[in-house]
Amino acid sequence: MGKYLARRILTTIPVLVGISFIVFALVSFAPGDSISLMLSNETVNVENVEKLKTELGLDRPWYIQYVMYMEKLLKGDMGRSVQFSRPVAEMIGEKIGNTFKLTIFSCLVSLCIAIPLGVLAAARRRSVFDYSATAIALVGVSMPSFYLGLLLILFFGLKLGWLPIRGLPTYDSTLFKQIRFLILPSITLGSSMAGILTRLTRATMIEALGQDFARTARAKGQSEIGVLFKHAFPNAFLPILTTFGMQFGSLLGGAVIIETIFSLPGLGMLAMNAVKFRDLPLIQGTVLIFAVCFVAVMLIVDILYVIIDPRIRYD
Amino acid sequence: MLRKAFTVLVVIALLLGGLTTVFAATPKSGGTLRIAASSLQSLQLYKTAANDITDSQSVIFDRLFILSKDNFKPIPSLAEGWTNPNPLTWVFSIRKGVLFHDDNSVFPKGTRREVTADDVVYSIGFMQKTSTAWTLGPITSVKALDRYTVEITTETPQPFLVNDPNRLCRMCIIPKEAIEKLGEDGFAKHPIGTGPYKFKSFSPDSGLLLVKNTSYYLPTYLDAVEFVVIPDPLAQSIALQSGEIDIIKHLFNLEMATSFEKNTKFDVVKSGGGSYRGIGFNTTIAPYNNPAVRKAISMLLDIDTAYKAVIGNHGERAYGQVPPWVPFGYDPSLKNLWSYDPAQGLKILAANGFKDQDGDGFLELNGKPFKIEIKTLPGSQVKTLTILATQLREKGINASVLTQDTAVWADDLVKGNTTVFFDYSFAGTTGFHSLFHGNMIGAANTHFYNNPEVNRLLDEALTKIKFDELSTLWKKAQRLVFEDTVGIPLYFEYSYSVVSKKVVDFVPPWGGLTLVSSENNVWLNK
Repeated sequence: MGKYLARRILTTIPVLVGISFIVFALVSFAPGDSISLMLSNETVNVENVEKLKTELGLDRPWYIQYVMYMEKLLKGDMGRSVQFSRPVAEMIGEKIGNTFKLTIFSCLVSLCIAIPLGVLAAARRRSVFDYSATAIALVGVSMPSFYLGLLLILFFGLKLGWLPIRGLPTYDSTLFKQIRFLILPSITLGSSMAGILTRLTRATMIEALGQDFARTARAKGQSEIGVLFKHAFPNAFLPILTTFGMQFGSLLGGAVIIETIFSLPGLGMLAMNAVKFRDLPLIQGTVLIFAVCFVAVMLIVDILYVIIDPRIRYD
Repeated sequence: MLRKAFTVLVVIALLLGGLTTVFAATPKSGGTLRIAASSLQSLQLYKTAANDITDSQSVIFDRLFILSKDNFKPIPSLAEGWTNPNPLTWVFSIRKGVLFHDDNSVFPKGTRREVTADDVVYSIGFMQKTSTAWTLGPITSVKALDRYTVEITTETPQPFLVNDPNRLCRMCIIPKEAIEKLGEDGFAKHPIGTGPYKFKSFSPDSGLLLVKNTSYYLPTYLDAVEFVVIPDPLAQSIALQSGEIDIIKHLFNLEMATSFEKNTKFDVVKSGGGSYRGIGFNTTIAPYNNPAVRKAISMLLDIDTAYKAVIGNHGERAYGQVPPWVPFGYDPSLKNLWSYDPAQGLKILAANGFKDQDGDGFLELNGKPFKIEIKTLPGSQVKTLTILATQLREKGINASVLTQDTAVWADDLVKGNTTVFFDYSFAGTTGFHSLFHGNMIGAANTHFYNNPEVNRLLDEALTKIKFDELSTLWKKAQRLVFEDTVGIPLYFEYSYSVVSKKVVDFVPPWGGLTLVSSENNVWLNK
């Protein structure tokens, strides 16, 4: 297992280098440029902008800029934002916690909805409950998150006034207060994942309940709840875990939109602003961090496989 | 008897009415004013001209002067007054007894320091060295004549140094020792100024909290001012209606202005300024390098119908770049340059080689397909441009509108990859100079227009201290530019703030946000 982990960690290095190269090239070749954006402003200080361009090396060919960027990155320096003239690492550091809070809460929301709904839908197959669960899952998967977000804001924020419409309180925020602020964005972000996992849980549970071990357990007098949660669910959980890991990536991607709608200052909003301004160092930094998070989650999922199913061996 | 009683009742009613007015007009202390911001990523000085950042800074820091809400002319702020002993020299007298904020790592609680002329000299130097957003122009020296007097000398006479909302008016007075101790990055995390509200805490892209500066030289009524970051305009509008915020400083969606106007809980406050919106041509690319073609295109456009259909009463027709609210250069006589005369326009085009040779209903130029693609960034103008493009199509010109991402639009414009484009500026005092002076090619002059006579007139105008002389030259240059049809002025769009009824004495930002000044002082009437 140790060897496997070391190998996996080592293989992430070329993956991350590859991602950084592709993103750098894509942004460099994409139309739009942060310096042009500054220059087009009627109040601009042309002299100082030209100086900034030279200082940041933006007047050099893109591949030279990439080499310079990687040199700095190896020394732990992610560069400075062109737009805000602030260290990228510091800006990411300020935001990453909020994105983690949002994604973890969204995962919890989706798991809390999906697992009970899916299991019960499988246990009460073709009942009203099953049809309702399938319908809820369908709505979750089909409804665009930005639309759901606006509906929730209008209903719970404006009409009922129960919940704040922003993602996080700015000051004096206790944990309870933060959770209250995170409810709407987490439901919005987690709804799609909840829909997918509900359908998957239902399908895998139906399959597991039809297996010999479930029948044997029933024959030996195991209660239905025992069959469901002691025998069927552990066997059905591996595909759910795999999908959960894969979906985590889409949650990070979805955070870009949800953070903007709910004014939640996280990595997604930072990335969005960076792209709008073609702030290359900031785009690179945020994408790299997203990539690292995704790779790390997939690694954790692999480790969890071994814990959940001791038959799995990587060595 | 009845008549007497009626008279007494009327008198009592008048007295009560008068008393109510008196009480309503008496400022109350307390409360937190919550202002919506679209983005507040950093408090670094002078790195970006973004409204939210500069507006928040103008509450923390004092400036030498601010622009009057009535006529945009400079009025004293940290400087009590200024003189022009000669056209190249400006002498500012600094207000005595103004203190930097305390209770921070540079000035511990109770150890405030008075602002002196040396601080002004340092602050100007800092701005010159670090600013990418603003420029101060050709300053040759800045020196302190005594503890409270600063002298600025310029290479040439520089009236815009004080008249432009984007020059000295943007300069924040900062303490040298704070920059030395904290560095630029550190200072941006904990700005120390002399303004009416002092820094308390900042969470990038979440919010900025400022608290009352109890030692300010004018009374400050609010306990605190909070800038609340809500990027989405619709979410800002919902937050205002739900009471989470009190003010939207810049309402970009004009449809929302109409909707808020009908709501009795809010005031839609028109800013004294606004923005110029037009169609621009890259004058170096054929066929737009031919003034006759540009003129002919302008004659095919029914601008009044187009802009009124979209923005209604939220703007007015523009005939030049300078709007009526700027104290110089507005020239209503430019109206005679523009006429809606499609027949004449098509005649000019025909004389310049435009003809529908293949019978597809669209004109070709010298036998080759001719197409106009108006490049624009997103905004309310897209609808107006679409109507204008439709008008051109009806007249036989294959025209369309391409809405681009702002960065792409700007890059295409600056690098000359655009032929016809949405042209806009903040219609400020120097917007015209930036858009059309030859020196600004490669930056804001995306028309690539370089007319030596226009350049000369503008250069000369920049040195005129007297408004009437300046205005004459500005008008001459403007007339030359639009006789050349370098651009087609469409309209001036008003800008608005939406303010909760409980907020009193709010003035929409112009050259920075002013919450406390000799002209206004914001308070909450709860």
